[in-house]
Amino acid sequence: MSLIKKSKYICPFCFTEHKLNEVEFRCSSDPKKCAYEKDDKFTDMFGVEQLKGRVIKNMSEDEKNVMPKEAFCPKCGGKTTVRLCPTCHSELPYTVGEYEDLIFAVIGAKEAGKSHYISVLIDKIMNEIGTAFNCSLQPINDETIKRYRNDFYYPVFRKNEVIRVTRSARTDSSVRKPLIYTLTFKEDGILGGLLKSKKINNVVTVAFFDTAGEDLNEEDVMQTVNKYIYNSSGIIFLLDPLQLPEVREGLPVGTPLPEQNTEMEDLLARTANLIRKAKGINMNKLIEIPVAVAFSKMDAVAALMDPSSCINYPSKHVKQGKFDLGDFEDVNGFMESLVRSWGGENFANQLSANFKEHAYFGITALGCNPESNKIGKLRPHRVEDPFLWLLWKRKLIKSEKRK
Amino acid sequence: MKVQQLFYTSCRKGLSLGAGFQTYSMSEGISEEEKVEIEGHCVYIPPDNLPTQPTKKEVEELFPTAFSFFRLKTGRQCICQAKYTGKDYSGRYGNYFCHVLVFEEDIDSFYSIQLFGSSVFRDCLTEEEENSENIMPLSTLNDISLGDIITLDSIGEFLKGNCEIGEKRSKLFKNVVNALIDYNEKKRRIIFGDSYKSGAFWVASIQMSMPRKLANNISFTTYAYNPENTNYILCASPKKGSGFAFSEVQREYQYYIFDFSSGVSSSVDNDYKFSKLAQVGFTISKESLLPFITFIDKFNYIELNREIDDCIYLYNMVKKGVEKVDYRSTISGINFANNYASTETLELIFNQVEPVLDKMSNEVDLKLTEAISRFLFKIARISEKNKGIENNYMKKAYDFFFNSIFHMVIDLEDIEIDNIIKLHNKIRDLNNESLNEFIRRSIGPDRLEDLAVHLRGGKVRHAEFYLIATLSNFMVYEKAANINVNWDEYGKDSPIMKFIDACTTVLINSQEGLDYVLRALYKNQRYFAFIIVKCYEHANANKGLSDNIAATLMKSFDEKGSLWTLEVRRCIEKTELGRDLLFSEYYIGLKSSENKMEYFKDYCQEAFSKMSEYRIRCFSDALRQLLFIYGKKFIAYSDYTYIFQYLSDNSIKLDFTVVEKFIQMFEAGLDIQYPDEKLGESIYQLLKYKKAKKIEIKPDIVKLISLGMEIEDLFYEAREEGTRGIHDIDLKYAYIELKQVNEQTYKQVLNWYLSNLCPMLTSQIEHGRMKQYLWVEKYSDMYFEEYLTVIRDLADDEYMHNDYFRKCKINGVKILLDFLLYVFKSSDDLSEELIIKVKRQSVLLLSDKSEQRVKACDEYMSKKISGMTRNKIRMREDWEDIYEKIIKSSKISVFKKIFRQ
Repeated sequence: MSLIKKSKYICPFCFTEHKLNEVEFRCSSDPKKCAYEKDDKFTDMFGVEQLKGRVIKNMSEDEKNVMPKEAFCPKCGGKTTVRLCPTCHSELPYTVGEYEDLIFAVIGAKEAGKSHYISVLIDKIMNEIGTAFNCSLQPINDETIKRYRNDFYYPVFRKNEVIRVTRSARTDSSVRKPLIYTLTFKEDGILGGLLKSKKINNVVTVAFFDTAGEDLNEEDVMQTVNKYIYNSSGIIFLLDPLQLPEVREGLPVGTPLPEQNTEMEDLLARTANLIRKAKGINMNKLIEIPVAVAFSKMDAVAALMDPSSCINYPSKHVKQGKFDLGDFEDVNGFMESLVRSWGGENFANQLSANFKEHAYFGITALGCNPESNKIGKLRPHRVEDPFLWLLWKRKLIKSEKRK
Repeated sequence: MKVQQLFYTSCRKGLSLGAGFQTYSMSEGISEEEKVEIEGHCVYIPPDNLPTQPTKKEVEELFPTAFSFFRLKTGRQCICQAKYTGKDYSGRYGNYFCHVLVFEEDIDSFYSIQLFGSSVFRDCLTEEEENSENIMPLSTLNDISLGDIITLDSIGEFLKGNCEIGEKRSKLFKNVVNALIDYNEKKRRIIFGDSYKSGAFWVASIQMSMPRKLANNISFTTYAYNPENTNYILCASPKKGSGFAFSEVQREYQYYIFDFSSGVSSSVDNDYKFSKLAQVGFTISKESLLPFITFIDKFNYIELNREIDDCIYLYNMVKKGVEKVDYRSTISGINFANNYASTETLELIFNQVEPVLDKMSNEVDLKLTEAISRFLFKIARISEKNKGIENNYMKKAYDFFFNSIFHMVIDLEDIEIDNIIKLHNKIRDLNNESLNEFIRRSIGPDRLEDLAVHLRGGKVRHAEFYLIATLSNFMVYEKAANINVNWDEYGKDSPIMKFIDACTTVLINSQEGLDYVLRALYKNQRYFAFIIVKCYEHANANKGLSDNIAATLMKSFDEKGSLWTLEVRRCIEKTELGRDLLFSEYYIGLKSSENKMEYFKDYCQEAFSKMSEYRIRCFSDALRQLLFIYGKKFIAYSDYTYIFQYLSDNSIKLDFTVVEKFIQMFEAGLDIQYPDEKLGESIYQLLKYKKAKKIEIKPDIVKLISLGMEIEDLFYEAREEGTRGIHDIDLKYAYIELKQVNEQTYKQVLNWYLSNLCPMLTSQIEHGRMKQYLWVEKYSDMYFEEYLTVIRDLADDEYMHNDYFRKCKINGVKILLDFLLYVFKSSDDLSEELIIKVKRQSVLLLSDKSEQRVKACDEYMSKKISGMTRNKIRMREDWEDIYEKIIKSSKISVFKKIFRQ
């Protein structure tokens, strides 16, 4: 389907890169016919012992680098299409090897609003972006459906409650697993898009990782549980403006403020170091992974901004069904100057010194300051901007120049 | 008891760099690796059917406590109490607090579940702790108080109660224990789907049905949101609000799920006696369970598995006496004791078993013998170690073991000897530490004499077992002591030699038995050699039997390959009888081989070359045997050179008769012709050898060939130099040898000699010398036939020696004329028939010559005849007769020529 010819894939669970023909299978026969077994590789990787279908080595003699679709269990003879990563024995998404894999990391300090951002962004992609860009986001497995529903969607959209504090991936192995979706783009419609086309143009597999802020506090921990960061296709770096001393001081007295957390420069430096070490990138070279620096909770700092500033207007991308470069440049420039003026000079310098492609955004996932863990009125604003920028960078959506 | 502590929660400040979930603090003595591993257990996900933003009261009342027990990789046991606390320092929900106890030593004074509800556990951080900038390490506890929720009574009450669906828990309990026992093999963890409060009681009822050291090896948790993400063997998870699917696949194939809220549980294949006992113990009578728990506690049994039932059998044996327990249960019970019993327990069991040991040794089979022998030796060894002296246990152990083995060998012929040997060796290996004693007892004089007496019955089975077992003991002993037993040191009349003699005497009459024993000894070439020589010794009086032993040896050599064979041969050849056996084996091999010469040559390489003494003693005989049964009448040159070279390289002295036969057979195969250089050299060497060794072989073919070579060489020289005459050749030996040869050889020799000698003959006198040395009366016709042929060829085809004749100024006709003169002169000694034949041949040959040549012949003959002293007239008449016929034949021939034209 995808026009991009792939030769390798990255397992979205252990992030090991493999050739397309390096794949194993799990017997999917009835366990009555083919008994479940211990899977030591899986246990080693995720720390839990589970009896699972027998692992079948890929016996295909085809030397071409093509991902095999099926295998036959040597014990029971049953056919299976359940493909496993040979390193961690996780079940690979059925799209693996066929489409481009995009891993998006959402990182940020404790209480930056990462979980809320993911919650609202996914909903936004499923609805507004899908309509505007003629694409659809579809969860790839039950685990994603269940987790998004229980941990993200229900609290925010159904119960209007603040999402519970995210558990550390060190204790809860389920946190290490991503939410995996396929993002399917259809061809542009005729009559200027008035009639939508049903023909599929491109498909990408998108994995979102939510991280507990504390798992970003130490580089050692990041290396262990946040390998996805250096394997990502794009990073959305959420910054809570309320963590900036200048902002805290500038806000009217009585404005509820969160606990002060890790310095944002520290987190950026740790992230850059992690990527450089893992990928072997010297300091004289820039990291290629695009970073969207998004200030969250912009509604809370409205008092510090000119009401007529571009950031306060709705994003033009969705309306146009294209990535509006004019709008992007305005917001990027505005936010960068804002960061610098709020004492983030060092942060901005570090960002440009490490990352080849970066941009600044201002968003709010909830649009209000929750009181007693309750969300008053959900008014997300510009949450899609960083995501659309990353898609545009990957040439998955078209852009519109400033008129 | 020293207990370290660790707190894990979401806090502003803890042991990591920032805020959030982390270890708040811990006692000194917990390593960083242990901390990381403990943190992996510090997870609490609240049930999803409870309020998401609960009040403190709701937290207290509704949220289950996750009380977990596990062991770290370092081996230390931990108990973790995790409780939901609601909001964290930042005001967000989802926080929980884990208080972990880390034990320095294994818990042995209580069941880990008894700490459930203990006041030692904290539920949260204090405000002061939460806001503290300086986090202090937690204290190490020296004493901890148990909770008051879990008691035998409260468990009893719990089990007597009904679960959600109304069924009595006690009924279900038995299957839960069955499943737990099966976990050891199947690795399906046990999951309870019950109310929040029941989890701890289910765990407690299981734990407290067994001794503490067994129970405290079973990890558990009283609550997990999704058991799939944990590793606890016992895991409670409420069906309502759980993240676990409780699906059919999980229930039947992945876990043992006991869903008490729906009544749908996993089926468990096995039903153990222990499960029933535990069920009765908790619900009907503690007295039936508690003594068993006390009993099992005496064993070093720490991992629950199906062997727990074996302990019940043992318990019954001890309680009720061995005779009350069936055979299978006795084996299982004794095996359990063997694997896990302490000294004290072993003695207790011994007292039960001892009175019936003698009786048992006559009723045993392999399994029971093994079980009881292991048991008896174990207690004997322990007791000997403790007391330092030989004790009654050891004697009992040996008596039982030997008697049982004897019973199985003698009376139970259904049991394969192989299996009895395996058992014997297994028990011997158990006694590895006191191997000397095992050997000493197994070859004790009394025992061996007894066995020898039984062997007189001639049962091959007895000989097989006892010989293999005894020799195997010696082998093991040799290995352990790093020595080689010298059998010669045992006198012929020693019990061991008598025993071995008795065994081998039986074995030589059974090919099957002999093969079996020898195969068992393949692994030790010395022992193999020793026993096969012994067998040969006993079979020696009977040729059939001794040949059979040699054939058996040959079969073994074929099976085992050259290295093994050489080693065995070396061991065997050390004795006179051994050499005899080896030679018999050689002879049988030679006889049966298709290519005897190749067999002999191989044997030279494989045996004689590597065993000098054997070579010295036996090579000559070996060659004699070869020559004797060699299928052909002569030996090919390549074989001759091989053997000759071998003799020379190894300085072997052969018997004279063998040498003669060998040379004779070689000479018989030689072609009568000028040999090539190599063969010529060999012939020369052989001549020398024969001369030196004064070997006379009739006929002496090499001498004839040698003479032939001399003649040919002389003729060659004559042709080069244009000389004539045969006076340089000593032909007198030829006559002696030619008298011995057969007709064919005579013909070959004559043909070769004459074709070289005749061209050189200078006169009728030399033609006479030829007859003198080369003519053999019995082959007289053949002589003249050959002679005439050569002379005719010379006269008829003068171009044959054209150069030579030109150099000497003679021709073939002249040689013919000399021969005619010799015939005329010796006509009295020659037959009329021969003379006529010669004359006819001469006429024919000379008729073709020119008139001028014929005239010259006449002149030559006239001149020679006139020079004769006797019979001149007769000779002239003979020649004139020939001459006239020649002239006549010449005219006819001229006419013929014209007519043809």
